[in-house]
Amino acid sequence: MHRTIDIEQLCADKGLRITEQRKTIARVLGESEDHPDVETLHARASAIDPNISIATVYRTVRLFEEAGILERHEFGDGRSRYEAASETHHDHLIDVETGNVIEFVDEELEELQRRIAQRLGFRLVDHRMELYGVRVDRER
Amino acid sequence: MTGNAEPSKLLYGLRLAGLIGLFLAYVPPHLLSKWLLGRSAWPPRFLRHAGLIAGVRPRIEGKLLDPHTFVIANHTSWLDILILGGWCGTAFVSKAELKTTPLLGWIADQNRTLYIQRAARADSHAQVRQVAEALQHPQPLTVFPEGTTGDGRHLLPFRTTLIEAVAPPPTGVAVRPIAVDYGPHADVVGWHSGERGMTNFKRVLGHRGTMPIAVRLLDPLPPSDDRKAVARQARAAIAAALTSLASPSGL
Repeated sequence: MHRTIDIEQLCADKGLRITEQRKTIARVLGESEDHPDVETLHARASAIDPNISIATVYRTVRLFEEAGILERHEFGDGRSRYEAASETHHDHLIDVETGNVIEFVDEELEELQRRIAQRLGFRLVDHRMELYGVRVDRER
Repeated sequence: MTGNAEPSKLLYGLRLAGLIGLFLAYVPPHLLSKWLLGRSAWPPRFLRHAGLIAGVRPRIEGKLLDPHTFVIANHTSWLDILILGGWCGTAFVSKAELKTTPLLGWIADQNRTLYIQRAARADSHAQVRQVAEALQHPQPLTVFPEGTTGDGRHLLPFRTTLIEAVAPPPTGVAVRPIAVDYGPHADVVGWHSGERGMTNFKRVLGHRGTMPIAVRLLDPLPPSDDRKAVARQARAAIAAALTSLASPSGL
């Protein structure tokens, strides 16, 4: 447990003050399996602590992103989404009507990307893939 | 052409400095992430970038691993950890001594290493249970059934104790052999019995140029409740996929 205190001290030394509110936001992020935007995060965090303002959420996620513990996604709808850094590679499919984000991994796609890079004279080291779609069963 | 060249002291120094710098840079965000979010993406990132600094350039072949996968791999070098942990995101089963090794034990903890007391034969049930429990976590788990590193030219016999945990496999768990093929570089990286760890470390880090390495993610093995059969199939599949072996059977 003394390690926890060390980290808190480390943060304080670096000017990163970890307040109770920031801790609450962190907990919400850690428990989120989806890709919440700031408004969603605010709704979830204020369910725990009603005093958390949306400005605090904005500042906190920006801070966490700079500290390298959050990933920010821009899915083209003007809203930044945040993902607690995930351990495995995956791609995203975005439902453009609802803004829902679905994670997927497809082996053929991975292979195809490797082949394209190879054909162009590159060895693929990383990629980012975002698909945008409308649910077929809602189209009619 | 690369095998016999003298290791470069300069490269060794540069790479070692790179590894130390990488460690110092990645530990703070990792601890912060663990503390605040309860998880961290930094351990596999560290292993991957450490691998790149060490000069390995893996090429991944085959279907990607599902999170709940029991991996059986050949073991040539400590580089295997950087490669399989960094590019395939797996955790590892290790002998218990590692846990108490300064620094390395801590790093291993961060990547959810599963420690096994090897001496105690009677404990095999407990070990099997430990492995089965670890497979519930959505991260592949690698065992090196050779039990030690080989010289890269021969596959050692496979120990089957831990394979019992996947004979038959728990629901939803795939069993996949992986062949880490160092090809012509096997002689440089191979860490055979008797060689001092530091000698190997210096030779690998002082190696001139980069090392392309084929990582062959082989097809899942059919479920079986015979651990010896599983071990035999895995060993045959790995031997067939390695170009570095002195003889095709790996014996």
